[in-house]
Parts: sequence; structure tokens; C-alpha cells
Amino acid sequence: MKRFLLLILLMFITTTLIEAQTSTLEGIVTDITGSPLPGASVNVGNKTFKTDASGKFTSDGIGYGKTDITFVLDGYETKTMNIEVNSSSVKLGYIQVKTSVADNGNDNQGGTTLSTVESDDDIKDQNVSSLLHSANDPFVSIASYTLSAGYFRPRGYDNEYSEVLIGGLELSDPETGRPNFSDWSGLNDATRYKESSYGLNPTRFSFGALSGASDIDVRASHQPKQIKASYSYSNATYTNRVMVTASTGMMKNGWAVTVAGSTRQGNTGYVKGTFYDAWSYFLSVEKKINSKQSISFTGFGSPAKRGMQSATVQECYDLVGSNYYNPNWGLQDGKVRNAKVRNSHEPQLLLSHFYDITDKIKLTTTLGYSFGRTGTTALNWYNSADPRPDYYRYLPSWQYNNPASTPDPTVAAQITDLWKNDENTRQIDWDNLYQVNYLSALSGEQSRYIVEERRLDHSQIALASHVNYEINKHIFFTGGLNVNLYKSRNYKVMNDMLDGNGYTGYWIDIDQFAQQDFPTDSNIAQNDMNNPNRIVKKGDVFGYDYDIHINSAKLWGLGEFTYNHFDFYAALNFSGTQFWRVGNMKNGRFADDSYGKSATHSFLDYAVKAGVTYKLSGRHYFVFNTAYITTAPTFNDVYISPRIRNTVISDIRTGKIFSCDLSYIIRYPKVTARITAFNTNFQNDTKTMSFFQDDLSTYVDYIVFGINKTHQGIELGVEVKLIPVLSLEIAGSIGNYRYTNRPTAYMSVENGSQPDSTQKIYCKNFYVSGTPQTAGSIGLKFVHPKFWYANLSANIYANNWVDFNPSRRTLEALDGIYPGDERLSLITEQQKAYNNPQFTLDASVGKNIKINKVVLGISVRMTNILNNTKMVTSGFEQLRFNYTTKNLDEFPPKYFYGFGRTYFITASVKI
Amino acid sequence: MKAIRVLRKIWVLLLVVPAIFISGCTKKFDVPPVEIPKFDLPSGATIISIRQLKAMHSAGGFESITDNLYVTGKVISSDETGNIYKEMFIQDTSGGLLISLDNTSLYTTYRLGQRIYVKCQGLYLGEYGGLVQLGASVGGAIGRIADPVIKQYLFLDSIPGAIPAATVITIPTITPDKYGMLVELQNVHFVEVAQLFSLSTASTNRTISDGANNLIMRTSNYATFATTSIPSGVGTIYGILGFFSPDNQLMIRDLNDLVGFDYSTKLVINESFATTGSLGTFSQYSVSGPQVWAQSTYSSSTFAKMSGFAGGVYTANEDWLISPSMNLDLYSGEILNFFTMMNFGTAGDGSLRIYYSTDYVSGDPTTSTWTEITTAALSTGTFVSTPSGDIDLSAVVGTNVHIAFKYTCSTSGVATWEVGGILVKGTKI
Repeated sequence: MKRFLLLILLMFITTTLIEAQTSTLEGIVTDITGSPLPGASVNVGNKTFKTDASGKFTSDGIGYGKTDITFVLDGYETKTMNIEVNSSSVKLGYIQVKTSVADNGNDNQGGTTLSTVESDDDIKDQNVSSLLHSANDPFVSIASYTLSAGYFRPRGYDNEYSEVLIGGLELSDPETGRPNFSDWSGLNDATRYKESSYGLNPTRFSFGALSGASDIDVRASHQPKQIKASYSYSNATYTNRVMVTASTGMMKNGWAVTVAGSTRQGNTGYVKGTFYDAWSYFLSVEKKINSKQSISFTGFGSPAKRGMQSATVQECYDLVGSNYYNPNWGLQDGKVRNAKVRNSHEPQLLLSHFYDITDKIKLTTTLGYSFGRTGTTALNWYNSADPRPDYYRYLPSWQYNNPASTPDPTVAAQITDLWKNDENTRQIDWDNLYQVNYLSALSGEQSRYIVEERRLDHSQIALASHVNYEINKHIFFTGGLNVNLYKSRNYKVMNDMLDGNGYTGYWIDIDQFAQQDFPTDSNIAQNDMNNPNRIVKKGDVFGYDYDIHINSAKLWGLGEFTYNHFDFYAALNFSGTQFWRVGNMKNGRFADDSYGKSATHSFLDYAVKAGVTYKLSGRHYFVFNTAYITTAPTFNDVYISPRIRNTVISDIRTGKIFSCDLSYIIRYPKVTARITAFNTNFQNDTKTMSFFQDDLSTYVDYIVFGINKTHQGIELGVEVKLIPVLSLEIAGSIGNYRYTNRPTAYMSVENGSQPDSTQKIYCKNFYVSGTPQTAGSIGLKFVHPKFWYANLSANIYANNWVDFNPSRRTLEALDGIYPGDERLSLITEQQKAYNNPQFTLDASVGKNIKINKVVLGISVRMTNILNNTKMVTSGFEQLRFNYTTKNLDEFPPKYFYGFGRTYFITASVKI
Repeated sequence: MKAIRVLRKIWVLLLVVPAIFISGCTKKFDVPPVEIPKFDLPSGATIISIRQLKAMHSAGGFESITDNLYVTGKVISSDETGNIYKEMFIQDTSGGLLISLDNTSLYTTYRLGQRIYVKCQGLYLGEYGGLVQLGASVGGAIGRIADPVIKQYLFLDSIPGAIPAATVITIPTITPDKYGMLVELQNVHFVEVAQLFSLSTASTNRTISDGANNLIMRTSNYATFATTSIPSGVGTIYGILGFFSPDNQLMIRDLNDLVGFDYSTKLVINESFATTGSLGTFSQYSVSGPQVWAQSTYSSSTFAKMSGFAGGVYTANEDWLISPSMNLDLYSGEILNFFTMMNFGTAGDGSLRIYYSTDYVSGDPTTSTWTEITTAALSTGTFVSTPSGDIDLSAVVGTNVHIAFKYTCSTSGVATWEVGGILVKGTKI
């Protein structure tokens, strides 16, 4: 150890001593139409510079000799040039970079490289430039755009393991850990400039997350001075989109302003009933205080209403003859009405301070406030028939599955006929729901059917500050502090009483299941004993009402060390999290344990990661990363039935993640490639669910904890320039993501009729679901110097596993089944979402025209050209299971299918 | 001031362009107008009376209805309380009809007094327990009409109106033509006063009596009023008249069907010794002899049993079976009721005596003061089950009253006694 320290010390001294002559590089980065690209990273050695609003960069302190200079901007191809620095000032002129992918047809650009400095193939064994830890490698761009259509997730990681930030401030939802992408959706242009890292690679704005991190640069001074407007037409999730973004650039008076707005509209998307009514707004104002300091205010939001789709069983898809059948809608007043509407608006307000303390030390501080609401509506009903058309007893198969009845083919055929021909059978019969409510009102009874909205209103104050310090040409330090105070209120609101036209409904705030089970106990069915039998009217809160408080703080640091043949880094993160629940209702099932504040649960976590890059030459690199991370459980991982109780599971465990990956990277002017082997072990993961338990005839909350998983695999990305205008791109990943132990499930019965219990889940070696474990894409990219461009890619997906029902892999579920019984394997074996690999073909073509200073663009993107309508994107077993008959056909898996052929046409103008 | 010019352009674009789309996308749903359903008989269809329809069924048969026939009637049953389950009764002037339907919330659509038309073509007639019903063919036998197709056979006409007047009947004059109809029984009472309408384990038959004749009232254990105590007094009972071979039976729809009854009579003690191996709320004390009172079963009957005969040997015993403590100050008009079965003894030999005490606490009963109850009718032998008759305890007062059964025997003439169905009921003050 002593010797190691000595060695490091020696390295510092020698490197400081050999500081020699330095030079300043200058240039302007533009896209292929010549529009300047602000916010691009210019990396020389271990130094990073940013282009300003006019795309200009100045890189000073560059040593003489040959060096690689690399330009990185999210959404554009990374471009590396090798140059020889031999004077105190090198002017590189205009450097054009190409758009990396046609991003859903949005704002397609492309072009050829017309660099003013030719690349030098002949790299000498000297100062080998460092790798850029950016998201811009062939695999990442293809995986995150093209393959996402098949729900491919790189390395099988869930969203909660990625991080999105603005000015170093995390935009994740503290309840789930997932980034709230919908908060800035529709603001593509205003949020397009990002700095990203993939996997464990270090970033200079945060400790990072397992699957990567990106920091969106919203500084108005970094936005190009232009007005851009685009109109898109599509048949995918919406029909029309209009986006307008305008920036002043940094003006002489020291101000810079960006405004943006957009709307996305559609009466119905690819799936019927999925209407889209989304708006977004964005304002960013930056004031340069002096040459060292700037202050920036940014506010944005995306109010959106969307009609949702629900997965259903294959029987329904087959009956209707479409894998895009959506049970959520029905005709009302001759119009399609969706019962499940998501309505969200969560504005973000950010105040940032950028301070270049010296030319080596930068301090970035952001104070953020966000607030707003998300809500999803749903039908609810009281002592009446299930209004959902795909309820299992309404399907022809029930005639065969009903254990109390002898199958009758003629009856099944009759129901099949109704499904095929009667809209009111296969969709929600809204008129009937109104009629039943009307009859109830005539009898003076409470409404039978209502639409409720399940709401989550949050507010959050967060502070993030980090410093970047270039200690010397070999050592770069980044460190920061984050504090986050979060509160959300979770409740139900009466959205629509489904009444009117001369009758008025009402609703009583009790739980009908508890009422049925305990008819003589007037307290137990109360949702709020403080307001027993309360009459609920439109707009009233009912059902459940509780607050979640989550506070956290983080302290982190990263050291990056750059030497001739080795780069290495080490990073450390300490964090503390505490959360508690406050019940605003006294629930009758848990009268002593639902109202008021729960105990506070606190967790201390740490994370450490390190990596080394061996630079064999400027053409060949070996990279090794490793990390050990502990993660506090989330609120929902530990609270049992948080809607009605303050109780947590007895065995709270901290998650542990151990991850490492090894990559080999090739960088030739005509060929870039990366191959990576990775292995990540998750320990003590938790999964929560809620379902109707047939054995007990009640809803149960089910928390599976202590889950261990391993994600192993290989990923490959290759880009070959075949001829100057044509490139070949290959990306692929073969994974093996498995459960490795038998976790425990904690079961709580919602109607309070049974004490809480635990079950062992036999799921060792089961596959992790939610992503194809194998996916690949091969594509051609054509870019003509006259601003023509086209892409064609063929994609393959395989090994997508259906999410399994843990309660079916228990001793309790197999009660009465003995070895040799063929049902044993049927009940316990995991299914694939599709047995054969699935293929899709995508293409896009576009053209830009430059007339004076105006750039007009048009692009068309076609996804799934061959119209493959058989590709399940996600499938899950129903959690309901008949413990008596053990008949799996009664509650078969539900599926979502990937869209068939869709198009996205965009026309844009840029001034 | 180029910036200002730029901004001006921006706002125009921001406001004007998206505004084009607003108009097309606002979603407002009209509330459907109140629908007054109207049924129009399809051409070629014939309406027949319920009596005519039921006449198409022959006893024990299973008939497919192939002709284009309709019946019409008003709904007289409701499944709201769950007592009537997956069944609906309609009636016209000719009679009542049971329709078997696979739905558990029929009453939200088919409300009391709702006129409906039933398309009989494609349906079947059959019987269950001897009662004719209209339903579907399920595996070649009469069964329930599947939920998704109910609306293909049942049609609403107008909104719910007046419920047909109940037909006044008397128990001895019930005729099959009244089956399936809403009936009214006047001046009747319940035999099992203060017991639950239904046991929790299964549907339960209780007895309606006019003093001379009895009629079964059948109640589902899933009915919301299953755990209510049967009221006392004489009153009027409404309900759907049915038949389950060989008995007529009545089903009430809810407690509103009982008029003029008194619910204040409650059970103070209700011990049927139904739990194997347990004397339930009772306890036993052995003053002498090795044998003790114990729970026992014969056929479907459960009771506490005591005998001095064991292992071929007669042993002298004195054993007490003692009730839990009762606070009779909370009640008036208390009545004790039980049954006994005796064998091997001599009728009236005093080997079983019944007492009450107001000062017994626990343990040895011989140190407390016991007053004998001599008015109970007791079994006279050969295990003949003998109801005790209503024993008036209204004179007994106190907050700590116990009832006890004292068994005594010597080594000869040893009797076996079985005691069960012990009820103490009273009117809550």
C-alpha cells in the first residue's frame, strides 16, 4: 500500500515537472446544415470544453504533439480527429457533426463530414487520448432508439437504475426512483442537449447510476440562436404535433432567453380509445453576471391527458381479431369514451448558478421546486356487475372453466358471436352504467357505477451543488452534495358520478368487501371512521388519503486520473434516506394503525465504484468498471397496504448491487466497435403487488422481498463506414437475467379477515421479465452531401419472458398436487412471451433544404414496415389463481403487443 | 433590439399554431338521456301467459322451447340481500315464474316492479326440487342463463312501477299454482324465535306457524340478514312461495317482508354443543365418580352426554353441567328451552335435575344455593328426543344467574342423559 502511494506521488511529481508548452485550440461545431451546435463537449486529453451558443469552443492548455480531439453531443455522432498541435494557437475552423439517429422522425438531420482537419491514421505510441464516456456509441444509440420499440432494456435494467438530471439536480421520482420523462415530454428541442454516460462510466455531474446518467443542458446561453418550428403527423400514439422553440442566444446585454411550446393531439392512437391531449411549455432565462458567473432560471411543464390501454388475455384479442383491442373504452353518446384517463401536470422550476471560480474550478448549483399532480381514472362499482367487458366470466371460455357448471358449446358459441358482433359486449356499455345508476336513484339508493381518479399530488424542494476541479492535467476531481425534501398526497377523487339529466347520484365512503364479510360490524367497512358513512359527491376525496414524506441527502466525490496508457477513476457516494407515512383517514379495517403519522424509517447507504482504461493504442482500449452499491428500499417496498395502514414489513432489508463490466473498444476512422461483458448481482430486491386472492375471496397486498437476481450478458456495437456516404451499423445483446434464490412473500389481507402471513416463493433460476433478453439490429445509414439521408434497419428480439405470478410458485398453490401430476409443471413453469424470435424492419428518409438562412426539413420514418402484429412487448401472468381447480385457463396471462406498421412524418423550419 | 423582435415572433407562433388544434380535441361527453326502455314485440312472436309456459313442462322433464314465444311479467324478487341468488321471479296475473340467471346483481337492472319480456325461444324448462324453472341448457340439464347473453332474452319495458299485490294465502290451502308468486301470510309467527335466520354454515330452514300449520322459511347463509335474530310476535310475512320436494317453502327478500314483528327478543344463551370435544360456553363439575359430562354426537344431533356406565361397570356419580353466567336484569320474560334424550333409566327417577342459582361463581357447585326447576318436560327413555317446553324464568332476577343440569346415579339403574339445544331468550329491556 505504501509503495502504491509512493508511486502515485511520484507520478504527480513527474507529471507536474514535465508540464511544457501549451496551445489554444479554437473552432466552431455545427450540424451539417451549418447551424451552430451549442453545448457540445469538446474533449482534448482529460480536458472537457463546451461550445457556446454560437457553437464556438476555445480549448486552452493543450500540450504540444499529436492528440485526439473529440466532439460529443447527445443525438449526434461522436466525432474524433487526431491533430498535431505545434503552435500556440490552432484554428480548426468549422467542424460538422452528423445526427446519430432519426429519433422517431423528430427533427431528422444528417450530413457528411466536411472537416477542415483530416484525421491522422498514423497514431504514434505517445499521448493516447482518453475514451469518452458518452452515450454516443453505436450500441447505445441503437438500443435506446431502435430497439426500444420491442421494449428492449440494455442489460435488462429497470428505469429506476438510470438517472436524468438538469444542472446536477436529479429529476427522479423519489417514490419509485424512476425519472419522470413525461414531465418534459414534447420539449424535444429545448431538452435535446445532454451530457450522458452509459453504465458505470463516470460523469462530471453526479455519482451516476447503474445503467447510466444524463444531464440535460437547458441553459439559454447554450441554445442556438434560432427559431425552430416543426409539424409532425403520425398514426402511432398521437396524430398531430406542433413544436416551436426559439432562443435569443447570449445577447449583448448579458441575457439569453429560450421559450418553447408544443402540443400533441390525437382523437385516437394506434390503439383505439387512446386519445392524446398534451401540451408543454418551457422558459429559460439566463443572465451573465460577470465573466465568471451566470444565473439561470428555467421553468417547464407538460400538462397531458391520455386515454390509456390495458393489457388483456389472448382470448379477447382473438375474439375481436386484433392484438390492439383495448377493453378500456366504450361508446357514450356515440363517441369513444375511455374509462382510464391519465391526467398529469408536474411543473419544474429550477434556479441555477454557474460559477467558474477559476479556469480550473467550476461550481454548479441548482435549486429546484416541483409540484403538481398525476391521476388516472378508473371505473369503480358497488354491489353490481363488473363493468369491464373482459371480466373473465364474460368470456366464452368461462363456460368451460366454470367449475360449478357443465360446459355447453352452444352457450359458448352464442357468447363468441356477441363478442364478434356486439360493440356493447366487447367494450364498456356506458349507457347501461348510466341506466343502472338512474334506476338506483329512482329507488333512492347510492350510485352503482362511478369513475374515480386515483391521484398523486407531490411537491418537492431539492438542492444540488457540485464542483469540477481540474487539479492538474492528470487529475480531475468532481464532488457534490444533494438534498431533497419530498411530499406526496395519495388519494381518490370522485371524478364522475355517471348521473345527470334529472337524477343525481351519491356514493357512500365504505369498503364493500369488508361490508360483505362483516355485515354486523358497522365500523370495519368505514374508509374513514372520522367521517363514517360519508356521502361522497363529485370532486370529493374518498376511499383512501395519505401522505408520503421522503427526505434524502447525498454526498459524493469522483477522482479521474489520466496517464499515458492508463486512465482510472474511483467514486464514492454516501446517502441517507428517511421516509414516513401520514394517514389522513382512520380506516375501519386498521382503526389503530391508519390515522396520523407512522414511525420514521431511516437508511444509510453507500456506493463505491472504480474503473480502469488500458489504452493499448489510440485504436484499442480495454475498459473495466466495477461498483458496489447499497440501496435503501423504497416507500412502497416496505409499507404493507399503504393506502390503509401505517404498518411496514417486519424484515426490512437494504438492497445490494454488485456490478462489473469489461469492454474492448476499437476506434479506427472507418470502424468503431465495442464489445462488453457484464455481470450484475442484485440482492434483496423487492416487488409489491395487489390482487384478488381466490382462496380467501378478498384482495391481498403481496410484498415479495429478499429477491436476488443476476444479470449477465454480452453487448456489441459496431459501426463501419463502407463508403463515405454509407455506414453499416450493428448492435446486439445476449443476456441471461435470472432470479437466483427463493425469496419470501409477505401477504396482508385487505378486508382484515386474516392475520398477515408469509410464503416462500420457489422461483430460483426463473427469468427476469420486461425485456427481450436477446436483441439485435443491423442497419445501413446513408448520408448524401446534398442533405439527403436515409436509414434502414432490421431488428430481432428473442427470449422475452412472461412476468410470473409468485403466489403460484408456493407450497400453498400446489396443495394437493403430488409428484407425477402433469399440472405441476404447468403451474410452476415460466412461459415465453413469444416462442420464435420476432423481426421488425424500420426505415427513414429525409431531406433538408437550405434557402439563405432558412433550413427546411422533411422526414418520414416508418417503423415495423413488415407489419409484425404478433410481437408481445410485455406479458404477465394474472395474479389471480384458482386454488381449488388449479385451472390455469381461468386466469391466463395478459399481453401487450408492439404496434404494427406506423409512420411519423415531420416538416420543420429553422430560422 | 433584435431579441425583442425574435420574441415577438415566438409568441405569435406559440399561441397561434397550437390553437388550431384545440378545437378538434376537447373531449366532452354528453350524459346519455334518461332512457325509458320500450319493448316492441317482434313480428311473428306470440305472448303466452306464465301459466301457459309452465304448462309446457311435464314433471321430471326437460323441454327446449323452439317456438317464438314470449312471456311478460313484473319482477317480484330481488337479489340485493343475497337471500335470492342467481334467480329471479316474475309474475303475471296467471302465475309466477322462476328464471335461472348466472348473475349476482340482477336487482340493479331488474328492479322490483320492473316489467320485463322474456324471449323463451332458445331457453329451456326444467325443474329443481320439483319447482319449474326457465333457464338454459347447461350440459344437457336445466341451468342458469349465461351472464353475457342475459340481455338477449330479457327485455325491459318502461321503468319500475308498482309491485304486483301479494296474494293472500293460508298455510293449509297452498296450491302449486301459487308457486313462484309473491304471497302474503297473515297472523303467523316464527317457531324459532331469537335464533338466527340462518346458520353460518348452510342455508337454514325455519318454521312459520299459524298456530296449527307450519310452513318452511328458507334463508341463505349468504343473506345479509342471516345473522339477525328471528323476531317474536304475530304478524304478516311476505315472500316468494316455492317448493322443494316434498315441502312448500317461503323465501323472503329482505326484512321488510316481515311486518308487525318484535325484534327485541334476544338469545341470552344459545348452546347446541356443535363443537366436537367441547362443551362450548358450558362447563362441567364432577362432585363424585370418575365419569363427566362431555360433548357427543348422534346422527346430526349434537349434545352434552353423561352416564355412570363405563367399561361394563356402573359407578356412582354426581356431575353438574353448568351454564355461563347470565345477567337477567337486562331482560324480561326470559324463557329456557332445551331437549333431552334418556335411556337405561326410569322415567321421572330424578337422575337429571335442573336448577338455577344467583350466587354461584365457579368451581364446586355444592357450596352455592340452587333452586330446582321442575316444570321441564324430560325424556322418558329409549333416547326419545323430548323438548323441554318453554320454561318461564321471568321471576329469576340477578346479574349472575347460572342454569345447571345435575346428573346423579348409584351403581344400579344407571341412566344415560343427553342434553342439547339449550336456549335462554328474553326481551332486551
